[in-house]
Amino acid sequence: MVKRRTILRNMTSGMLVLSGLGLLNEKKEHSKAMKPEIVTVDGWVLLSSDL
Amino acid sequence: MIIDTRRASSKTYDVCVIGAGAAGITIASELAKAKINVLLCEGGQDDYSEESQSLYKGKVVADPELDVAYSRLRYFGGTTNHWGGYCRPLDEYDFTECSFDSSIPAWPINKAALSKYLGEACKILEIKNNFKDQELGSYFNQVDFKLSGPVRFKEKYLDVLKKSKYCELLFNANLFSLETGGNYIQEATFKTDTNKDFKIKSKFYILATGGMENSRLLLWSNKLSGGRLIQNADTLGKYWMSHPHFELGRVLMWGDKDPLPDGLVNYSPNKDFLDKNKLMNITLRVDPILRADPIEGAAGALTVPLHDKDQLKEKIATEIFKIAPFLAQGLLDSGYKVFVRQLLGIWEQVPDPNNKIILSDKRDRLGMPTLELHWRKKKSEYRAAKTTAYEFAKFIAVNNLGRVKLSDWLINEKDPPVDNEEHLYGHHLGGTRMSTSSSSGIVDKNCKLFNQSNMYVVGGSVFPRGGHANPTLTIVQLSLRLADHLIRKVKA
Repeated sequence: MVKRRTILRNMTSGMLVLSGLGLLNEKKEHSKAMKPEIVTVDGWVLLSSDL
Repeated sequence: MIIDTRRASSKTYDVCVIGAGAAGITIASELAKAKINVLLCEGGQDDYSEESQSLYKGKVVADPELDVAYSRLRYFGGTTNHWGGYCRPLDEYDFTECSFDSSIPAWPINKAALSKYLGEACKILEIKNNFKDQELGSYFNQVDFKLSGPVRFKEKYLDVLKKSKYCELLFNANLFSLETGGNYIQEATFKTDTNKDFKIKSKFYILATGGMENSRLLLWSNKLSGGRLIQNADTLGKYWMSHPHFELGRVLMWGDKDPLPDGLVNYSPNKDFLDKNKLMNITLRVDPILRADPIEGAAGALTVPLHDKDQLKEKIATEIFKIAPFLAQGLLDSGYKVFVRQLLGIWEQVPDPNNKIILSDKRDRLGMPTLELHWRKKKSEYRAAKTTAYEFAKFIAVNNLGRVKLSDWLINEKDPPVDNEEHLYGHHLGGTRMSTSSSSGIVDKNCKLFNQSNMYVVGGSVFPRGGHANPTLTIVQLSLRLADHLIRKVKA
């Protein structure tokens, strides 16, 4: 679940810089312990550890 | 020099080249360098005109229907006046018989037969002859495409050929029919743009009018000859192919700097993957087309309207970060920049006799039937695109090179969106395919018409299989090879 998000655009380099996102730490730890598998969500081909 | 019809009709040439595009100009130039008297006939003039272009009008029966005149130009230089410049020779695999479908023929020549002319073709197209592919995992290669200037043959060769002692140029020379004495072309009848007939006599004739007109002109000449020109015409006009281009998805990449700084990168599955999955060849092109504005690129990746920045912010937050929060957190922790690329698929079609050029019941203003192209894509082609794109997406993810979002049409097993159809028409292949036998093709391994001893056809129309590479480089290689063959024949 996304708690907070902001997107800043670096006007000098023209690159997209993403920052300020808070996430649920316990879910992240759980995901790290598993061997990642390929999963497809809404067309995105992802690793299970991404989720 | 540029000559008129009276002068052209008064002579007998060594070689008459019909059509001044990449193929015809290459051959005429090579023959002139070898001091062979050549006449180069162009239906248009030295610049674009609506009057000339209108002779390309025809009907397309396709899904959806398209303009048959699109992507062709009917004046000196032909399609090289607007081509994009992408070059790559065909793969070894493209010349071979298909391992899973015996109806898909091999070329009657192998890659080595054309490789001999690769260096010279690269010089003509002003690209480096150092094609290097790199293995990428078990199933893919990063494949090397070169980008020509693009060379405009009109700019490069018109003045050269005007000054040539051995090449004569004839504009407004529209081939109407080829008269055969049985197994020998005796003369060719042309029409001027004002519909006046004139005849050309030559020891050898080469038809090089492009991947649609070659079929149309032979269909009409064969009809006028009562079938004597091409005695076995079962395949004439058939097995027409193109290289469908469609967006297969978007690729999200990241790094301290741009991971693909040199622009677009092309990948192709190897033979093992194609055979295992029973697929035709395909290019996956990761295109930085969106690089100019990464914010908008990111929006595209998330299928957000590009102009709506507020919606963009919301979508980024609610889609990728919601779907893959730990991926997002990793990116934030790393401080990497994020890049979004377009993933294009450009694939080889299965040669199909139902995809064909036929003569319509309408006539152009010179009295020749206009062409009708029947061309439909198969569901199996979309399966090939999906199978390959999904395997590629897995490779990208497992190696943490990025993540791929596959297009909705691919995921949902639908036809590609119609607004992508504009990509479809650039490459015109088949119709007079090269073969070992007149029962399965129109020209032999030397591009000579079966049953006619002095008539040749060259261009994309002779391709039995299309491969996945843009065809111009191969067409120039074939033209150099044919020029070499004719130089030996004329001087024998």
